[in-house]
Amino acid sequence: MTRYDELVSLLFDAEPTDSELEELAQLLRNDERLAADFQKQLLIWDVWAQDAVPERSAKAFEASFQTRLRAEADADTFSSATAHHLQRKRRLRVLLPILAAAAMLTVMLTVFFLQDAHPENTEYTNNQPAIAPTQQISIVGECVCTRCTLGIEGKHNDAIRYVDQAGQAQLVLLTRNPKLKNYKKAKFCRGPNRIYVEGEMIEENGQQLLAASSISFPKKNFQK
Amino acid sequence: MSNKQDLDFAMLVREHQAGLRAFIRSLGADDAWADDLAQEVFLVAYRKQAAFDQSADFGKWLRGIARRQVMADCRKKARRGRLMHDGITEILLNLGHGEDEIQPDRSKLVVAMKACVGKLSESQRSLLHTRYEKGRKAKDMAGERNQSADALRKQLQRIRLSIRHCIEKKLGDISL
Repeated sequence: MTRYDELVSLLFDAEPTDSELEELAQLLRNDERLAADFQKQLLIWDVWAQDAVPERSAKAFEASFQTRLRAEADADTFSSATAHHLQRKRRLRVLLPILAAAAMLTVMLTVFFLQDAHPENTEYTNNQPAIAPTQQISIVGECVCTRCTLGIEGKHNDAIRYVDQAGQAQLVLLTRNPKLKNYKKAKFCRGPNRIYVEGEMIEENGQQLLAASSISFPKKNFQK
Repeated sequence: MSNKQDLDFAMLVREHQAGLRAFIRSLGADDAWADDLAQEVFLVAYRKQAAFDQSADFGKWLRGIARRQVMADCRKKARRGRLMHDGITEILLNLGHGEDEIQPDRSKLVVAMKACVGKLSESQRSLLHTRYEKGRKAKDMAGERNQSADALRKQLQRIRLSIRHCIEKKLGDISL
């Protein structure tokens, strides 16, 4: 086996290092016949992989493309709906201190009157959870920033865009999480980038948010 | 899939997807990204279909778009991850322009490949099956088979070479 065969074999069946890839590039640069041979090998074995690997079947490709096309067709509606949704959220944020003050006053008055009516009830229990019951989910989608990537909000919010089972594009905002800070610029702002997220849906101030417990950025989907 | 103009886009995708994916891979796209790039090419084609001259070769038009997409990936640092190596892609992009461009006849190739794989020994077929259908890397397969990863890679490469020779015998020099 020649060095060229060895390098091609590394490329097909292992993880060649940068210097091995550079060495292969140099060999191809110096010999056009080798370059043509390499191109044919890539082509032949890709055709084989399409036939052999289920994830790469024609059916899978076509279904995936149709979903992407639908998502693109929905993009305008989706963007305006998201912008509207975020504007509503902003309006709510302005009203929130007023509502919170009113709620506190109501609670204080209620406690005052209850204590007054039943002096023995000195412990106040609140059985109402602060957030809605949680729901564990996992999403394969794209990470985006609502300002940098989507341009639909003045503020940088980390979000996940994905296509649901009905083929509709969806956007879910992530809760603030210091662990995501490292990915903010490289992945969210320079997105969309593929992402796999696990976490739970929580409700905060009437807004459904995803509290991510783990994230990963898959690169390899298919086998060589 | 809605129809713009008179093009039956769903039919065109069905007809050209396999060849386009292999073409993109042959330009040095990373195997994990080749399909993604092919979908982008179809999306560009879908958006620009009004500009397509319907008397022209749709496959060739798609390959032109693909070439430009791969070139763009080569130029943009953030998108180079979609290529196996930018230096290799540059070389492959410069091969076979225009008439010499590889235009795979996929069905012919698959038939020939299957016939050639049929001629392999049982253990060679099993190796190929594990590598592709099961998607295992040489390192993992080596552990299961009590072989070194290097030896296993060499075996796989020899299988590839023998299949390549067999295909060339059947189809002539692969103009594909």
